[in-house]
Amino acid sequence: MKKILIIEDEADVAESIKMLLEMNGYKADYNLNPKAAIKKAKGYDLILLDIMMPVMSGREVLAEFKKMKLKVPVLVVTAVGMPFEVERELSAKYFPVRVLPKTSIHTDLIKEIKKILKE
Amino acid sequence: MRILTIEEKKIITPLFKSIVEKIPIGIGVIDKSGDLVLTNKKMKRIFLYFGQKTNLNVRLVEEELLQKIINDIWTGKESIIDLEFNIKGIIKNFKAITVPITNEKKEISFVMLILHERTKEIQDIKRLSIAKEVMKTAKLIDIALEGKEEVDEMLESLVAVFRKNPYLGCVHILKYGENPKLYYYSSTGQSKSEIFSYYKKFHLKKDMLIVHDITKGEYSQHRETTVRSHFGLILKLKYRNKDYGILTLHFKPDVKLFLDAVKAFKEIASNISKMIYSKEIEKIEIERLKELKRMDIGFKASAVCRLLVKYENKEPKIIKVNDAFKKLYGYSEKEVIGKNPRILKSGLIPKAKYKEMWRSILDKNIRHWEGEIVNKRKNGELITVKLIIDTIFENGEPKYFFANHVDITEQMRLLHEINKQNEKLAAILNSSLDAIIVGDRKLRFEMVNTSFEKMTGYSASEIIGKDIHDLLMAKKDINKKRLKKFKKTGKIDILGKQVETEIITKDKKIIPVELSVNKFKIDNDEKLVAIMRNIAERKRLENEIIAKEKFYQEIFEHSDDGIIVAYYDSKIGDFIIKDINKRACEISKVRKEEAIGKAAREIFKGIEKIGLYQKARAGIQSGKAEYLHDVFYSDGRISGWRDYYIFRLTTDEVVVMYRDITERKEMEKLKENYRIKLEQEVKEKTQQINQQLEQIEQLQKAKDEFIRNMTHELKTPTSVILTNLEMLKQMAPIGKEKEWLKMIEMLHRNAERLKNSIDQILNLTRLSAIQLNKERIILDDIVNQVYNDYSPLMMKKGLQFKKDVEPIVIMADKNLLILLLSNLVSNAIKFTNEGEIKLEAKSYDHTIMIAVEDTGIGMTEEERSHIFEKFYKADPNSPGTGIGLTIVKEIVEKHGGKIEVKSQKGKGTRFEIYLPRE
Repeated sequence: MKKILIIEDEADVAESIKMLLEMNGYKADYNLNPKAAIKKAKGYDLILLDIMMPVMSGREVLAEFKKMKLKVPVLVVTAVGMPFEVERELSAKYFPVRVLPKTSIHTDLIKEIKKILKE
Repeated sequence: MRILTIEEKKIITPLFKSIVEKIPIGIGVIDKSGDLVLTNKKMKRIFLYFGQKTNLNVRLVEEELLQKIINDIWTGKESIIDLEFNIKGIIKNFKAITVPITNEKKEISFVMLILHERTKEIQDIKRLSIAKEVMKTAKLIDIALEGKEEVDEMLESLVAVFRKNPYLGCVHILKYGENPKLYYYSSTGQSKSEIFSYYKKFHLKKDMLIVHDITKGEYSQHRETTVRSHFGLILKLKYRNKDYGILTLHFKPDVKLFLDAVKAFKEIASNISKMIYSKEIEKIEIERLKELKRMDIGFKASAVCRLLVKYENKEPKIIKVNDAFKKLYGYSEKEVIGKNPRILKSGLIPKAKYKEMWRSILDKNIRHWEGEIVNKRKNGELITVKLIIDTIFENGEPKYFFANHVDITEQMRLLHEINKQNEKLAAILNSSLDAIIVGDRKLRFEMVNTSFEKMTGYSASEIIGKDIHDLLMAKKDINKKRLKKFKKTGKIDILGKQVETEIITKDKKIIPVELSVNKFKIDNDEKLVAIMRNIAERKRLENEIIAKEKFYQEIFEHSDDGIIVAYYDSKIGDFIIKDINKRACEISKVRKEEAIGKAAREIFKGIEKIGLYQKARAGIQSGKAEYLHDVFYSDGRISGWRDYYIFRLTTDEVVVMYRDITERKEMEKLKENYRIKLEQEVKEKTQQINQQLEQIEQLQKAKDEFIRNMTHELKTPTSVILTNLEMLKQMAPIGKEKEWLKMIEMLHRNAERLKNSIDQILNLTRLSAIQLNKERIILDDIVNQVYNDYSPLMMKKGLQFKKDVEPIVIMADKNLLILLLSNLVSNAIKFTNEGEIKLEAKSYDHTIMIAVEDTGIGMTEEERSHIFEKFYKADPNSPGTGIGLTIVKEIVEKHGGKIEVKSQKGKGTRFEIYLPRE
């Protein structure tokens, strides 16, 4: 069973995604504190990362990941901006990531994860 | 005419005489002394023609010519020359033929001179030749009259001669006597018997001699008593089918003499044939005629130096000179005869000149040369001669040159001297810029110089001798009385004075001149010399100066600036006003007559205070122009703002130009105040506008910020709702699945709508800031992607999808292009309930066209004009945010393209997008 880490400051969103993932046969954890999450990151197959977070933004998290040379693929979830634009920007700045608009989670999240994990 | 001696009578026989008498050509016989011993009728007539007596001595014929004739004749030669007789002014050309007449000892005892007028035809020349030959024959035959009886043999040989000679034409040879016999005849158209009977008739009249001239068609008879029984010899000459003469000669048969006769006949035959048939001879004769005409015949006696030069083997040799030659060149005859005439050369004449001379005199068609040559005397002295050379041709070749040398040395020297003097005088006169006239006492032009010719247009040659006063003077200011007096006495008051007057030129122009007339004497001859100078230019300048002065005075008076002219008087220690113009009087409120002559500081009391006085002092010393701007003048009487400009004249006077600028100053002040006020206002207004703009910008930012925050805030809950709804679908309570699903579906649909609206608004707010990321796109890929995204929706509504896309590659932002097409297609689906959605793409040169067409509800014109406005909705109840098309338009414009809409209410809508290919 693939393990997915959700880094998301809003508990409702995190909980909803965790449920959705588990319903679709993944093992999912979420961490509302990104700093704590970073430390755990290595042990997962995929990381779902929110960009707009109050304590530490998704960009800072990506910067940390880049420093760590983390090999785990990251799927960024955002409620701001046009997804392709954000994806272009982040991939150029840190490392290749996929970006999914928050509003498309219910329809596209599982498809996207399957694509990344090559299932 | 002298009586012939017995000896001479043996040669000039009566027979000879009688034959000569009958021939219609002038014939005379001349003895060695040059006396005529015999003349025939024609000859007498020729002499008569010239008004001479018949016994004219041949010496009257040019001696020099005779010399030539005799030179040739007495050496046994025959000669044909042309004579030109000029007696009493009538010129007659004659051809003279001389034939030597010899005695038994073959010595020439007489010369037969045959004269024939040249005006007759060439035929006559021929006849003349024949006559000559006949005469010769007659003489010889006459000699042969004494002697032998047997002639048959000789006659035979004579026949043979004639037979051999094809030129002789028709010849009859017959024998007279008891039994006349025709020895020989050639064809003349007469039968033998005719000829024979003809001669028989002669036989009957034994003592008759008949000269038969066929051309004239007449017979002449002559009685000759000494002739008895003879053989007759007939010589008939035919030339160009015409008979020229027939001669019957009678002689006693004598073998020896007859042999001579035969010999003579041979000669005759050959001569005749030559004379008659050789055209060359004709030519020679004509040539000689020309040559001899020009030949100088007064050779020896002439006072002019003459040379006769023979030209042989291309070498000229002097063969004869006259006394004048000896005198001129100092050579004796011996020294020059046989020499080349080049001994006379001085060596000063260019070779080319001699070359030209030789070319001329050796040319058959020119044979003449004239020119001036410098030659050398025996003593080495140089002389200038005029050389005239004529060439005589013989047989087409130059044979003799006759040269005349006329000494022109002294002439040349004098001419040179005179020329030099004249040149000097002319140079002096012509170098004068003034026109010079030399006139005589009668006031007639004698001489004028080139300046005169230039001034008046007259050439010297056309006015010499004319009256100076009449021709030249425009004013005729010397009256008739004075003129008359002058011509009489030579006295006139203008002599030695300088006067101003006017003259008339050839083309009737009047020129003012300064004229001075003087008298002088040459060889007791009183002359007048007048010197004229054109003063038109001076007059013009004078007038011009006057006009200019007036002009400047006008300018001075009417100048818009005040002008004062003053000079510094060191005694008074102030400027004295010399002139003041109208404007200055106005500005300074003074009267002209008040100011002129007064000291400047007395009239203009304030000038020291403002520094004008000092400036003027400085200006007059340095010569530099001085300025004084914006000064306030006041002297208690008047006051005002002034501009001054001060400069020095070449006359050391000072000019002050000034202007009252008080009005302008006030105006400037007003203007300046107004400008400051205006500037202040503009500044304030600008500030206000900037503030407003800032506010607007802030508002815009706040709005964008708000929208962004709002949408973000909306997105998260929507996302949670949608995610959980998705999961809820799986968890329907048993038995109530249908209602559950229906409710979940309703919730889902609305949450979805909310989500779409949020996405669109977010897109729009981001779009303006976004950077285009152009890449090569295969258009068909994008169309397919969009179709794939929307096909479920279309299928759900039961709409057909049609695609008509050309293979196109375009440079564009892929994501934005997808967004664009997605918006158009979703829009089309939204407003179409049945029919089809059509996607079209076409390629042009630099653009591509993408069209999305539907068969939906369409739009009114009013609706269509608003569709690109943000949040516009034709029907407020219709779904969507109303910003989809705004986004479409933004994307198109960001790519530098344009969008067009065609729509018909109830029928459908077509969007056409044009994008640049690159």
